[in-house]
Amino acid sequence: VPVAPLPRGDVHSFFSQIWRHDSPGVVDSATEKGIPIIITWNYGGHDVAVEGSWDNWRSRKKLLRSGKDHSILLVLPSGIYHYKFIVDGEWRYMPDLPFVANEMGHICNLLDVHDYVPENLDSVTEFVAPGSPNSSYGQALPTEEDFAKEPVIVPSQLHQTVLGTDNQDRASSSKPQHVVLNHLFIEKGWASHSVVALGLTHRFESKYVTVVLYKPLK
Amino acid sequence: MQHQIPAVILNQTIPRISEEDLRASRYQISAFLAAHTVYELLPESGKVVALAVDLPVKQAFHILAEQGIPVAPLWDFYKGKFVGVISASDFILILRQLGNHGSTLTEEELETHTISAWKEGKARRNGQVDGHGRPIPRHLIFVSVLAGPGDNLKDVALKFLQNGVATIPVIHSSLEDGSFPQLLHLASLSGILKCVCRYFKHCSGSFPMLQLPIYAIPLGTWVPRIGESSSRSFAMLRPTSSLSSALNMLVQARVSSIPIVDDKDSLLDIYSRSDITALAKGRAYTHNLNEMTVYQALQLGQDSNSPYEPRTQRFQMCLHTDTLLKVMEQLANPGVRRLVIVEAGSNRVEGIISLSDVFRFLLGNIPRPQCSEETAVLHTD
Repeated sequence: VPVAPLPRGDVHSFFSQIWRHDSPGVVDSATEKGIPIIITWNYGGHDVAVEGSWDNWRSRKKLLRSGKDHSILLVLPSGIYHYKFIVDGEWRYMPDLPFVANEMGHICNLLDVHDYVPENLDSVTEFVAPGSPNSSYGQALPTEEDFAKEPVIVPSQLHQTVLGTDNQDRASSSKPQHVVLNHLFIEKGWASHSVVALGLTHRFESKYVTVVLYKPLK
Repeated sequence: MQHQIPAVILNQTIPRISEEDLRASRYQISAFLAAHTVYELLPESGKVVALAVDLPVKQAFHILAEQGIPVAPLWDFYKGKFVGVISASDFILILRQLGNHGSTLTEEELETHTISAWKEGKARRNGQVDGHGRPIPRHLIFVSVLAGPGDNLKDVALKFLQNGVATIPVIHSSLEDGSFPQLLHLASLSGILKCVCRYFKHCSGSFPMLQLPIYAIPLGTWVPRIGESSSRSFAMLRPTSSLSSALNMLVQARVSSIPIVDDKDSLLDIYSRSDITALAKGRAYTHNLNEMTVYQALQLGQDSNSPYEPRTQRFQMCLHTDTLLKVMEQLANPGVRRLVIVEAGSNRVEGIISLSDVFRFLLGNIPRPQCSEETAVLHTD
């Protein structure tokens, strides 16, 4: 799958070559953020070019050769594109990349450009979760005695409550810090103290969800 | 969906596409939707507000107004699961009940009447019976249209259309029996449409259907010509109409919004079901709704809007010549559920297009549900 550029070999000369020879792919409007994407052809050949739906198949872009591979850097706004290769005059597609056939049987490759990179903890090989500190752990519910004592001081990282009044556009909430995940926050003082708000942020696969639940206080 | 040509088209040849093109396009769209899941609708970081089902209805109303949301999933602590949603439609029904003489619900009772009691009373009033004519057992009173993150988008789009709902909670449980469910997201058709538009935006050349102007399909509900009979009259109101007439119209015409027009039928504003939450401000819902005008009700909403949301974004308009793709991209914006079709220049209302109109067309001939949210379609699953 074409990914954001990761260098193989000599980075600087590769990229400066591209910027000199070829203009990046089409970015429709100034407001749409372009995401750099590398498209690679691994099946040899002498002259390799690519055409795609990013400019409605209007222009043909030559790929640059590096050993047996041919590549091109494009800057495209987020979206889904169809594209095909022209290898030494023949229309080809890469069978090991996503492709789709239209009703006339023509096959072209499919490119899905995302504007964010999902988190993948498995790829962070140096990360090993620290063990729990030496102490005794149990699952007994607190007793009257426990409630009589002073509560443990909240670590400073948890002072920012997920119940903060951020009623802005939900779709663009900033990513929460990992430290607040799976901690339950409570906020009282709603409508004459008869309602409380409980807040929790958890991670589901690569996405974060903050759930705020309002319940009556009896 | 009406098949009459709208009054605005006189002596023009109507662009058409062949049945095969339509079928091929619909096939590709269905295939695309079936290949993607609800998980993709989730934002990278999102927030969902839920309410406990034993919360008094009055508190629920204020919370929705405060949070600026029109719908919230309901959590039942005793059962340990999500049992449905409460929405603006519920509040409209409650307020209409308050206004009725001899109503069993008084304003004081709103403070103690819980959401679950309200839902049960609603089901009883609608005389809910199951397929064999027996009254529905208590534990099935709630309308519970839910989806999981692994469900594919085609099935979920069909769920929206077949149940006539606007919001479906996305719930996940890692256990076989569905216990300890996690609330992930509130899905809407506009989220799915956004996915579809991402797909079409850069390869629309392969789909001639998308370049059709909407009057040629025709898409949406159109104001009938003078002298033409129509099975459904088009709901519109003047700003001086009473709020209670607006609420009655929302319920009886089974629409989610009503264009507010002047005496020339030019669009001034729109009153939607979700605008009902503005009445929480200053407890305006305690006033006589017969004496409040739609204009006053909309003013209430304007004051409680954040200063960042300009008035003009309350409703979106389009022209009858706009293409299907253009209309789809407008509707894919979050919070936009409908477009008002207006005449260029005069803003005279010609019709309305909703998200469900678009999906009914894209997926092909899904019939409307017999009942809508108001009459609480029941599911025995």
